[in-house]
Amino acid sequence: MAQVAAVARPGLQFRIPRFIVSLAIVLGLALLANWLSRVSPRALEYPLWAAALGLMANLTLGATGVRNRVGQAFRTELFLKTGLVLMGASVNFGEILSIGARGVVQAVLGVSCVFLFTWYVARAFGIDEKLRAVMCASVAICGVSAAIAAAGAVLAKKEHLAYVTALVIAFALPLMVLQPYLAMALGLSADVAGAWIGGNIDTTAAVVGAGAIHSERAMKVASIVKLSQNALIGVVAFLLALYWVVFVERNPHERPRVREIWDRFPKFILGFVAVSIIVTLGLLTSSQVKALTNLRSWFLTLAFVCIGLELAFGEFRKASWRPIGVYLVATVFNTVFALGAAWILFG
Amino acid sequence: MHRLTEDWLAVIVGLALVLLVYSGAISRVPW
Repeated sequence: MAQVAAVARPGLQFRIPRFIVSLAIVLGLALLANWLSRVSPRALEYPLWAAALGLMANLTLGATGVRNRVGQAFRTELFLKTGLVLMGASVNFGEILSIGARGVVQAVLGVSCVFLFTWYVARAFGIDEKLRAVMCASVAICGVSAAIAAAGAVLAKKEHLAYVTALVIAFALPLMVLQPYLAMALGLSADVAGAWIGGNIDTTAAVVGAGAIHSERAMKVASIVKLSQNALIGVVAFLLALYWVVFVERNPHERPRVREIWDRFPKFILGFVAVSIIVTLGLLTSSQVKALTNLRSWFLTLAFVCIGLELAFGEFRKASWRPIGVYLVATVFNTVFALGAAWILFG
Repeated sequence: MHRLTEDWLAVIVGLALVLLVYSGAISRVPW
């Protein structure tokens, strides 16, 4: 029977698992990005090459119609989170506490002000309430993860979530390139630059990329500030769900559970802290830390390649100017506010 | 992949790599 099937469909016996093809694409682009960053002028760092190659591959795969068939290994979040866990090896636990404490203060101030500002601007632009909630969460906290949490809290449509995800990445990529160079032009210290980047750019992958373009120190500060912000996702999702059922749906019997805060907490932060503690206790030699730091760089390169590969150009064709306008205004406000907060707390 | 599983997978892979480096199974990573 199997032999008959193989003869009837001769291609079957030669089919290579698509996941391996997909992974080979991501790995190949990452290797190329690494090579280009070493041979090109200093100004072009590996995050830029990786994202650019990912975007070009995205367009090519889309044009040839195979993108949906080879996308299984395009996993920005997974590669990024693994890279961030490994980043713990280059951050002393004392630094996490010191930067993290200021990062939490900046995050609480930033998240509250930017969320409320975006809410009222979006209302003025006539944006639907559920889309408004998803946009506010993504601008104020952490792009994609926050948008997902908010979408769940207010039961937003799947199209809203896909659309906001595309907007997040579309705004994050130019900022990833512009903000570090702007920070250098303004003569900001690495700590202030990192805090500004971490408090502003919406997606964690672009935060890490922008920080890396500026300097190693800025990348660490930006990452810790961003992770402090990410930790608030659960709190905001809980409050948003509470507001929704009490004031919008007016159903006080459907209160969200407090457990929601833990459920939404980004667990990979625990891995980041654990690795930092391991290194702070002196359990690894400096050459072992160097090996982990290089592994981190590889995983981050894979993430930056995927950020370009996963950009959904198709979503923009469905866009109206209003959500884009709101996002632009909110991003400008966020950028200025984050600079002020970073200057006061880290300057 | 569910985001909760993705987070824990990142932690597991990260800690596994730390263990491999600590044990000497991975001693050098070019960059």
